[in-house]
Amino acid sequence: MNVDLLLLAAEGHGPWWLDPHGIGLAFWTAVTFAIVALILYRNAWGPLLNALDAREQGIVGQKEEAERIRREAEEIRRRYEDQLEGIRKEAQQIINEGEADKKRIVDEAHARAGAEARAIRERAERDITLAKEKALAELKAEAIQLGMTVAERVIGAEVDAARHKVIIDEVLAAYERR
Amino acid sequence: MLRLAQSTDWMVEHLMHVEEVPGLAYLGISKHVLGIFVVGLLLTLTFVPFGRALSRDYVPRGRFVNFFEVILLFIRDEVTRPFLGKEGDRFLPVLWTFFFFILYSNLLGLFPILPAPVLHDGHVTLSWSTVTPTGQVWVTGALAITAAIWWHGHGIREQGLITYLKNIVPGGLPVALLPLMIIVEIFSHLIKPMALMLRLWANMMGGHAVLYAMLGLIFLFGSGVAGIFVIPLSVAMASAVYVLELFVAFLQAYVFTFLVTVFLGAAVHPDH
Repeated sequence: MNVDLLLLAAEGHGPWWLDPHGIGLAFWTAVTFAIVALILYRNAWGPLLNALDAREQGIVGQKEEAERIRREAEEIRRRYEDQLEGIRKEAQQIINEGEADKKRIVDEAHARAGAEARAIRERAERDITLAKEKALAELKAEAIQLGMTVAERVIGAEVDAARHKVIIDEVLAAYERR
Repeated sequence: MLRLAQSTDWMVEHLMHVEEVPGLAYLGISKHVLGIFVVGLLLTLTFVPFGRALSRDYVPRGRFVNFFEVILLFIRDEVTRPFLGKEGDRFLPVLWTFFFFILYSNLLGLFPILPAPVLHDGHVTLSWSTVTPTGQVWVTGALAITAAIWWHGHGIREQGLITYLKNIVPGGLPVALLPLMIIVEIFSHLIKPMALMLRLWANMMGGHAVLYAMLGLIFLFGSGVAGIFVIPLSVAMASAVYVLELFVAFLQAYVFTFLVTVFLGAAVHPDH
Protein backbone atom coordinates (compact mmCIF):
# COMPACT_ATOMS: atom_id res chain seq x y z
CA MET A 1 0.00 0.00 0.00
CA ASN A 2 1.17 3.46 -0.83
CA VAL A 3 2.79 5.10 2.22
CA ASP A 4 1.41 8.48 1.19
CA LEU A 5 -2.09 7.12 1.26
CA LEU A 6 -1.53 5.60 4.67
CA LEU A 7 -0.31 8.90 5.98
CA LEU A 8 -3.17 10.75 4.43
CA ALA A 9 -5.57 8.26 5.99
CA ALA A 10 -4.07 9.00 9.37
CA GLU A 11 -4.71 12.70 8.93
CA GLY A 12 -6.98 14.30 11.46
CA HIS A 13 -6.49 15.69 14.90
CA GLY A 14 -6.19 13.86 18.17
CA PRO A 15 -7.20 15.06 21.65
CA TRP A 16 -7.09 18.76 22.53
CA TRP A 17 -3.88 18.42 24.49
CA LEU A 18 -2.14 17.18 21.35
CA ASP A 19 -3.20 20.08 19.16
CA PRO A 20 -0.19 20.44 16.85
CA HIS A 21 -0.76 24.19 16.57
CA GLY A 22 -1.02 24.84 20.28
CA ILE A 23 -0.78 22.90 23.46
CA GLY A 24 0.52 19.81 21.68
CA LEU A 25 3.73 21.75 21.14
CA ALA A 26 3.95 22.47 24.86
CA PHE A 27 3.18 18.85 25.70
CA TRP A 28 5.92 17.45 23.48
CA THR A 29 8.34 20.12 24.63
CA ALA A 30 7.81 19.23 28.29
CA VAL A 31 7.96 15.48 27.59
CA THR A 32 11.10 15.78 25.47
CA PHE A 33 12.73 18.04 28.01
CA ALA A 34 11.98 15.60 30.83
CA ILE A 35 13.31 12.61 28.86
CA VAL A 36 16.43 14.48 27.78
CA ALA A 37 17.01 15.70 31.34
CA LEU A 38 16.81 12.10 32.60
CA ILE A 39 19.10 10.75 29.88
CA LEU A 40 21.62 13.49 30.40
CA TYR A 41 21.45 13.21 34.18
CA ARG A 42 22.36 9.53 33.99
CA ASN A 43 24.83 9.69 31.13
CA ALA A 44 26.36 13.16 31.12
CA TRP A 45 25.77 15.38 34.14
CA GLY A 46 26.21 12.58 36.65
CA PRO A 47 29.58 11.52 35.22
CA LEU A 48 30.56 15.19 34.92
CA LEU A 49 29.70 15.93 38.57
CA ASN A 50 31.52 12.77 39.63
CA ALA A 51 34.50 13.75 37.51
CA LEU A 52 34.48 17.25 39.00
CA ASP A 53 34.35 15.80 42.52
CA ALA A 54 37.11 13.32 41.72
CA ARG A 55 39.16 16.10 40.16
CA GLU A 56 38.61 18.33 43.18
CA GLN A 57 39.58 15.54 45.56
CA GLY A 58 42.55 14.73 43.34
CA ILE A 59 43.67 18.34 43.39
CA VAL A 60 43.19 18.55 47.17
CA GLY A 61 45.11 15.28 47.59
CA GLN A 62 47.87 16.46 45.29
CA LYS A 63 48.02 19.76 47.12
CA GLU A 64 48.29 18.00 50.49
CA GLU A 65 50.93 15.67 49.06
CA ALA A 66 52.81 18.65 47.66
CA GLU A 67 52.56 20.36 51.06
CA ARG A 68 53.88 17.23 52.80
CA ILE A 69 56.77 16.97 50.33
CA ARG A 70 57.48 20.67 50.80
CA ARG A 71 57.59 20.22 54.58
CA GLU A 72 59.90 17.22 54.20
CA ALA A 73 62.13 19.16 51.84
CA GLU A 74 62.16 22.04 54.30
CA GLU A 75 63.14 19.64 57.11
CA ILE A 76 65.89 18.11 54.97
CA ARG A 77 67.12 21.54 53.99
CA ARG A 78 67.18 22.63 57.65
CA ARG A 79 69.05 19.45 58.58
CA TYR A 80 71.55 19.96 55.80
CA GLU A 81 72.02 23.56 56.80
CA ASP A 82 72.71 22.45 60.39
CA GLN A 83 75.17 19.86 59.12
CA LEU A 84 76.74 22.45 56.86
CA GLU A 85 77.04 24.85 59.77
CA GLY A 86 78.74 22.12 61.85
CA ILE A 87 81.07 21.30 58.99
CA ARG A 88 81.81 24.97 58.52
CA LYS A 89 82.66 25.33 62.20
CA GLU A 90 84.78 22.19 62.09
CA ALA A 91 86.59 23.46 59.00
CA GLN A 92 87.15 26.80 60.68
CA GLN A 93 88.54 25.01 63.72
CA ILE A 94 90.87 22.98 61.50
CA ILE A 95 91.95 26.15 59.76
CA ASN A 96 92.56 27.85 63.09
CA GLU A 97 94.55 24.86 64.32
CA GLY A 98 96.48 24.87 61.09
CA GLU A 99 97.18 28.54 61.48
CA ALA A 100 98.40 27.94 65.04
CA ASP A 101 100.55 25.01 63.93
CA LYS A 102 101.95 27.05 61.11
CA LYS A 103 102.79 29.91 63.46
CA ARG A 104 104.32 27.51 65.93
CA ILE A 105 106.41 25.76 63.26
CA VAL A 106 107.50 29.06 61.78
CA ASP A 107 108.38 30.39 65.21
CA GLU A 108 110.31 27.23 66.04
CA ALA A 109 112.07 27.38 62.69
CA HIS A 110 112.86 31.02 63.28
CA ALA A 111 114.19 30.25 66.75
CA ARG A 112 116.21 27.29 65.49
CA ALA A 113 117.58 29.23 62.56
CA GLY A 114 118.46 32.14 64.84
CA ALA A 115 120.24 29.85 67.26
CA GLU A 116 122.11 28.14 64.47
CA ALA A 117 123.02 31.45 62.93
CA ARG A 118 124.25 32.70 66.26
CA ALA A 119 126.24 29.53 66.80
CA ILE A 120 127.73 29.77 63.32
CA ARG A 121 128.58 33.41 63.85
CA GLU A 122 130.14 32.72 67.23
CA ARG A 123 132.10 29.86 65.78
CA ALA A 124 133.17 32.03 62.90
CA GLU A 125 134.17 34.80 65.27
CA ARG A 126 136.06 32.33 67.35
CA ASP A 127 137.77 30.94 64.28
CA ILE A 128 138.58 34.43 63.13
CA THR A 129 139.98 35.32 66.54
CA LEU A 130 142.03 32.17 66.62
CA ALA A 131 143.21 32.74 63.06
CA LYS A 132 144.00 36.30 63.89
CA GLU A 133 145.90 35.31 67.00
CA LYS A 134 147.71 32.62 65.07
CA ALA A 135 148.51 35.03 62.28
CA LEU A 136 149.70 37.59 64.79
CA ALA A 137 151.87 34.99 66.50
CA GLU A 138 153.29 33.88 63.20
CA LEU A 139 153.80 37.48 62.22
CA LYS A 140 155.42 38.12 65.55
CA ALA A 141 157.75 35.13 65.10
CA GLU A 142 158.55 36.16 61.56
CA ALA A 143 159.15 39.73 62.71
CA ILE A 144 161.48 38.50 65.48
CA GLN A 145 163.29 36.25 63.05
CA LEU A 146 163.54 39.07 60.57
CA GLY A 147 164.69 41.47 63.26
CA MET A 148 167.32 38.98 64.40
CA THR A 149 168.52 38.49 60.89
CA VAL A 150 168.71 42.22 60.32
CA ALA A 151 170.38 42.78 63.64
CA GLU A 152 172.95 40.07 62.94
CA ARG A 153 173.79 41.60 59.63
CA VAL A 154 173.92 45.11 61.09
CA ILE A 155 176.03 44.34 64.07
CA GLY A 156 177.80 41.46 62.47
CA ALA A 157 177.97 39.49 65.55
CA GLU A 158 176.42 36.45 67.00
CA VAL A 159 173.85 37.20 69.57
CA ASP A 160 173.21 34.55 72.13
CA ALA A 161 169.90 33.43 73.31
CA ALA A 162 169.75 35.54 76.42
CA ARG A 163 170.70 38.56 74.47
CA HIS A 164 168.09 37.57 71.97
CA LYS A 165 165.52 37.54 74.60
CA VAL A 166 166.37 40.95 75.88
CA ILE A 167 166.45 42.51 72.47
CA ILE A 168 163.17 40.92 71.52
CA ASP A 169 161.46 42.15 74.59
CA GLU A 170 162.72 45.63 74.01
CA VAL A 171 161.59 45.65 70.39
CA LEU A 172 158.24 44.33 71.38
CA ALA A 173 157.87 46.88 74.11
CA ALA A 174 158.77 49.60 71.66
CA TYR A 175 156.40 48.13 69.12
CA GLU A 176 153.58 47.96 71.60
CA ARG A 177 154.20 51.49 72.78
CA ARG A 178 153.91 52.68 69.27
CA MET B 1 2.40 49.36 -0.94
CA LEU B 2 0.47 46.24 -1.78
CA ARG B 3 3.68 44.29 -2.16
CA LEU B 4 4.86 45.54 1.22
CA ALA B 5 1.61 44.45 2.84
CA GLN B 6 1.82 41.06 1.11
CA SER B 7 5.40 40.69 2.18
CA THR B 8 4.57 41.54 5.78
CA ASP B 9 1.69 39.08 5.75
CA TRP B 10 3.95 36.37 4.37
CA MET B 11 6.54 37.09 7.05
CA VAL B 12 4.03 37.00 9.90
CA GLU B 13 2.44 33.88 8.49
CA HIS B 14 5.80 32.20 8.10
CA LEU B 15 6.96 33.13 11.59
CA MET B 16 3.77 32.20 13.40
CA HIS B 17 2.70 29.20 11.35
CA VAL B 18 3.15 25.73 12.79
CA GLU B 19 3.36 23.25 9.96
CA GLU B 20 1.83 19.84 10.63
CA VAL B 21 3.73 16.72 9.73
CA PRO B 22 1.61 14.70 7.31
CA GLY B 23 0.11 11.66 8.96
CA LEU B 24 1.26 12.55 12.46
CA ALA B 25 -0.95 15.54 13.20
CA TYR B 26 -3.26 13.44 15.37
CA LEU B 27 -0.29 12.87 17.67
CA GLY B 28 0.34 16.59 17.80
CA ILE B 29 3.53 16.20 15.79
CA SER B 30 4.34 19.34 13.88
CA LYS B 31 7.53 20.51 12.23
CA HIS B 32 8.37 22.34 15.46
CA VAL B 33 7.87 19.16 17.50
CA LEU B 34 10.18 17.38 15.07
CA GLY B 35 12.64 20.20 15.75
CA ILE B 36 12.32 19.55 19.48
CA PHE B 37 12.93 15.84 18.92
CA VAL B 38 16.01 16.70 16.87
CA VAL B 39 17.20 18.96 19.69
CA GLY B 40 16.77 16.09 22.14
CA LEU B 41 18.61 13.74 19.80
CA LEU B 42 21.47 16.20 19.25
CA LEU B 43 21.77 16.79 23.00
CA THR B 44 21.96 13.06 23.59
CA LEU B 45 24.48 12.59 20.78
CA THR B 46 26.59 15.42 22.17
CA PHE B 47 26.56 14.80 25.87
CA VAL B 48 26.40 11.02 26.23
CA PRO B 49 29.87 10.66 24.61
CA PHE B 50 30.94 13.64 26.72
CA GLY B 51 29.81 11.86 29.90
CA ARG B 52 31.45 8.60 28.80
CA ALA B 53 34.73 10.41 28.15
CA LEU B 54 34.63 11.84 31.67
CA SER B 55 33.65 8.47 33.16
CA ARG B 56 36.81 6.95 31.70
CA ASP B 57 39.09 9.70 32.93
CA TYR B 58 38.19 12.64 35.11
CA VAL B 59 40.81 14.77 33.38
CA PRO B 60 39.16 16.47 30.39
CA ARG B 61 41.05 15.53 27.27
CA GLY B 62 40.49 16.80 23.75
CA ARG B 63 38.78 19.84 22.30
CA PHE B 64 35.30 18.31 22.37
CA VAL B 65 35.25 17.63 26.11
CA ASN B 66 37.08 20.83 26.98
CA PHE B 67 34.81 23.01 24.86
CA PHE B 68 31.65 21.83 26.55
CA GLU B 69 33.18 21.64 29.99
CA VAL B 70 34.19 25.31 29.78
CA ILE B 71 30.56 26.27 29.12
CA LEU B 72 29.21 23.96 31.83
CA LEU B 73 31.68 25.24 34.40
CA PHE B 74 30.94 28.82 33.38
CA ILE B 75 27.30 28.22 34.29
CA ARG B 76 28.34 26.63 37.57
CA ASP B 77 30.85 29.32 38.56
CA GLU B 78 29.19 32.44 37.19
CA VAL B 79 25.48 31.63 37.51
CA THR B 80 24.77 28.96 40.10
CA ARG B 81 27.40 29.41 42.78
CA PRO B 82 27.02 33.20 43.21
CA PHE B 83 23.32 32.67 44.00
CA LEU B 84 23.12 29.22 45.52
CA GLY B 85 26.61 28.59 46.82
CA LYS B 86 28.38 25.25 46.56
CA GLU B 87 25.32 23.39 47.80
CA GLY B 88 23.51 24.66 44.70
CA ASP B 89 25.60 22.25 42.61
CA ARG B 90 22.83 19.68 43.07
CA PHE B 91 20.59 21.85 40.87
CA LEU B 92 23.15 22.00 38.09
CA PRO B 93 21.92 19.03 36.03
CA VAL B 94 18.54 20.65 35.41
CA LEU B 95 20.04 24.10 34.84
CA TRP B 96 22.58 22.68 32.39
CA THR B 97 19.75 20.88 30.59
CA PHE B 98 17.75 24.11 30.38
CA PHE B 99 20.75 25.98 28.98
CA PHE B 100 21.65 23.47 26.30
CA PHE B 101 18.06 22.59 25.42
CA ILE B 102 17.34 26.27 24.75
CA LEU B 103 20.69 26.87 23.06
CA TYR B 104 20.26 23.96 20.67
CA SER B 105 16.66 25.00 19.98
CA ASN B 106 17.79 28.53 19.22
CA LEU B 107 20.62 27.36 16.98
CA LEU B 108 18.45 24.84 15.14
CA GLY B 109 16.67 27.73 13.42
CA LEU B 110 19.97 28.95 12.00
CA PHE B 111 21.04 25.72 10.31
CA PRO B 112 18.96 23.88 7.69
CA ILE B 113 19.49 20.44 9.12
CA LEU B 114 15.93 19.38 9.83
CA PRO B 115 14.61 16.70 7.45
CA ALA B 116 10.94 17.67 7.62
CA PRO B 117 8.32 15.63 5.74
CA VAL B 118 6.04 17.83 3.67
CA LEU B 119 2.89 17.00 1.76
CA HIS B 120 3.11 18.13 -1.82
CA ASP B 121 0.50 17.20 -4.41
CA GLY B 122 -0.61 14.20 -2.36
CA HIS B 123 2.96 12.94 -1.91
CA VAL B 124 5.08 13.10 1.22
CA THR B 125 8.64 14.22 0.62
CA LEU B 126 11.50 15.11 2.90
CA SER B 127 12.68 18.67 2.81
CA TRP B 128 15.77 20.07 4.50
CA SER B 129 14.59 23.07 6.38
CA THR B 130 15.07 25.16 9.47
CA VAL B 131 12.79 25.51 12.42
CA THR B 132 13.27 27.43 15.63
CA PRO B 133 11.33 25.64 18.36
CA THR B 134 11.91 28.56 20.74
CA GLY B 135 10.31 30.86 18.18
CA GLN B 136 6.94 29.38 19.26
CA VAL B 137 5.38 30.70 22.44
CA TRP B 138 3.99 27.27 23.33
CA VAL B 139 7.50 25.88 23.46
CA THR B 140 8.95 28.69 25.55
CA GLY B 141 5.82 28.57 27.70
CA ALA B 142 6.31 24.85 28.33
CA LEU B 143 9.92 25.44 29.29
CA ALA B 144 8.99 28.35 31.58
CA ILE B 145 6.20 26.39 33.29
CA THR B 146 8.47 23.36 33.69
CA ALA B 147 11.05 25.64 35.29
CA ALA B 148 8.44 27.25 37.55
CA ILE B 149 7.13 23.87 38.73
CA TRP B 150 10.71 22.82 39.38
CA TRP B 151 11.70 25.84 41.47
CA HIS B 152 8.42 25.87 43.42
CA GLY B 153 8.83 22.14 44.02
CA HIS B 154 12.30 22.66 45.44
CA GLY B 155 11.10 25.62 47.50
CA ILE B 156 8.36 23.47 49.06
CA ARG B 157 10.78 20.58 49.55
CA GLU B 158 13.34 22.81 51.31
CA GLN B 159 10.94 24.76 53.54
CA GLY B 160 7.82 22.66 53.77
CA LEU B 161 4.50 23.65 52.17
CA ILE B 162 3.17 25.81 55.03
CA THR B 163 6.42 27.73 55.52
CA TYR B 164 6.77 28.15 51.78
CA LEU B 165 3.28 29.61 51.50
CA LYS B 166 3.93 31.83 54.52
CA ASN B 167 7.11 33.11 52.91
CA ILE B 168 5.25 34.24 49.83
CA VAL B 169 4.76 37.58 51.58
CA PRO B 170 7.66 39.25 53.41
CA GLY B 171 7.56 38.96 57.19
CA GLY B 172 6.76 41.90 59.50
CA LEU B 173 4.08 43.47 57.30
CA PRO B 174 1.08 45.23 58.90
CA VAL B 175 -1.95 42.94 58.84
CA ALA B 176 -3.92 45.49 56.83
CA LEU B 177 -1.47 45.17 53.97
CA LEU B 178 -1.51 41.39 53.86
CA PRO B 179 -4.45 40.90 51.43
CA LEU B 180 -2.92 43.34 48.98
CA MET B 181 0.55 41.85 49.32
CA ILE B 182 -0.73 38.32 48.87
CA ILE B 183 -2.36 39.35 45.60
CA VAL B 184 0.79 41.20 44.49
CA GLU B 185 3.03 38.27 45.35
CA ILE B 186 0.76 35.76 43.61
CA PHE B 187 0.88 37.96 40.53
CA SER B 188 4.66 38.15 40.80
CA HIS B 189 4.83 34.35 40.91
CA LEU B 190 2.67 34.16 37.80
CA ILE B 191 4.61 36.88 36.04
CA LYS B 192 7.98 35.21 36.55
CA PRO B 193 7.34 32.27 34.19
CA MET B 194 5.48 34.58 31.83
CA ALA B 195 8.51 36.83 31.69
CA LEU B 196 10.72 33.83 30.92
CA MET B 197 8.32 32.66 28.24
CA LEU B 198 7.85 36.01 26.53
CA ARG B 199 11.50 37.13 26.68
CA LEU B 200 12.83 34.01 25.00
CA TRP B 201 10.02 33.78 22.45
CA ALA B 202 10.11 37.47 21.52
CA ASN B 203 13.87 37.51 21.14
CA MET B 204 13.99 34.47 18.92
CA MET B 205 11.01 35.47 16.82
CA GLY B 206 12.17 39.09 16.65
CA GLY B 207 15.59 38.07 15.36
CA HIS B 208 14.04 35.92 12.67
CA ALA B 209 11.64 38.71 11.76
CA VAL B 210 14.57 41.07 11.22
CA LEU B 211 16.33 38.40 9.17
CA TYR B 212 13.25 37.89 7.00
CA ALA B 213 12.78 41.65 6.69
CA MET B 214 16.33 42.06 5.41
CA LEU B 215 15.90 39.30 2.87
CA GLY B 216 12.39 40.53 2.07
CA LEU B 217 13.90 43.73 0.68
CA ILE B 218 15.10 41.63 -2.27
CA PHE B 219 11.52 40.63 -3.17
CA LEU B 220 10.24 44.16 -2.70
CA PHE B 221 12.98 46.15 -4.41
CA GLY B 222 15.27 43.56 -5.98
CA SER B 223 13.89 43.65 -9.51
CA GLY B 224 15.34 45.88 -12.18
CA VAL B 225 18.24 48.27 -11.74
CA ALA B 226 17.55 48.78 -8.03
CA GLY B 227 18.37 45.12 -7.47
CA ILE B 228 22.04 45.81 -8.23
CA PHE B 229 22.18 47.85 -5.05
CA VAL B 230 19.43 46.27 -2.98
CA ILE B 231 20.44 42.60 -3.30
CA PRO B 232 24.08 42.91 -2.09
CA LEU B 233 23.01 45.32 0.65
CA SER B 234 20.20 43.03 1.74
CA VAL B 235 22.45 39.94 1.80
CA ALA B 236 25.16 41.83 3.74
CA MET B 237 22.69 43.08 6.33
CA ALA B 238 21.07 39.65 6.61
CA SER B 239 24.50 38.09 7.15
CA ALA B 240 25.23 40.60 9.90
CA VAL B 241 21.89 39.86 11.54
CA TYR B 242 22.61 36.14 11.20
CA VAL B 243 25.85 36.56 13.16
CA LEU B 244 23.94 38.61 15.71
CA GLU B 245 21.38 35.81 15.92
CA LEU B 246 24.16 33.35 16.75
CA PHE B 247 25.12 35.59 19.65
CA VAL B 248 21.50 36.04 20.71
CA ALA B 249 21.05 32.25 20.72
CA PHE B 250 23.74 31.94 23.38
CA LEU B 251 22.65 35.08 25.22
CA GLN B 252 19.01 34.04 25.55
CA ALA B 253 19.92 30.55 26.72
CA TYR B 254 22.16 32.19 29.32
CA VAL B 255 19.49 34.72 30.39
CA PHE B 256 16.85 32.01 30.78
CA THR B 257 19.19 29.85 32.87
CA PHE B 258 20.30 32.84 34.90
CA LEU B 259 16.75 33.92 35.72
CA VAL B 260 15.68 30.38 36.59
CA THR B 261 18.64 30.26 38.99
CA VAL B 262 17.61 33.56 40.55
CA PHE B 263 14.01 32.41 40.98
CA LEU B 264 15.18 29.06 42.32
CA GLY B 265 17.44 30.85 44.80
CA ALA B 266 14.50 32.97 45.98
CA ALA B 267 12.35 29.85 46.38
CA VAL B 268 14.98 27.81 48.19
CA HIS B 269 16.47 30.63 50.30
CA PRO B 270 13.69 33.20 50.83
CA ASP B 271 15.77 35.03 53.44
CA HIS B 272 18.46 35.95 50.88
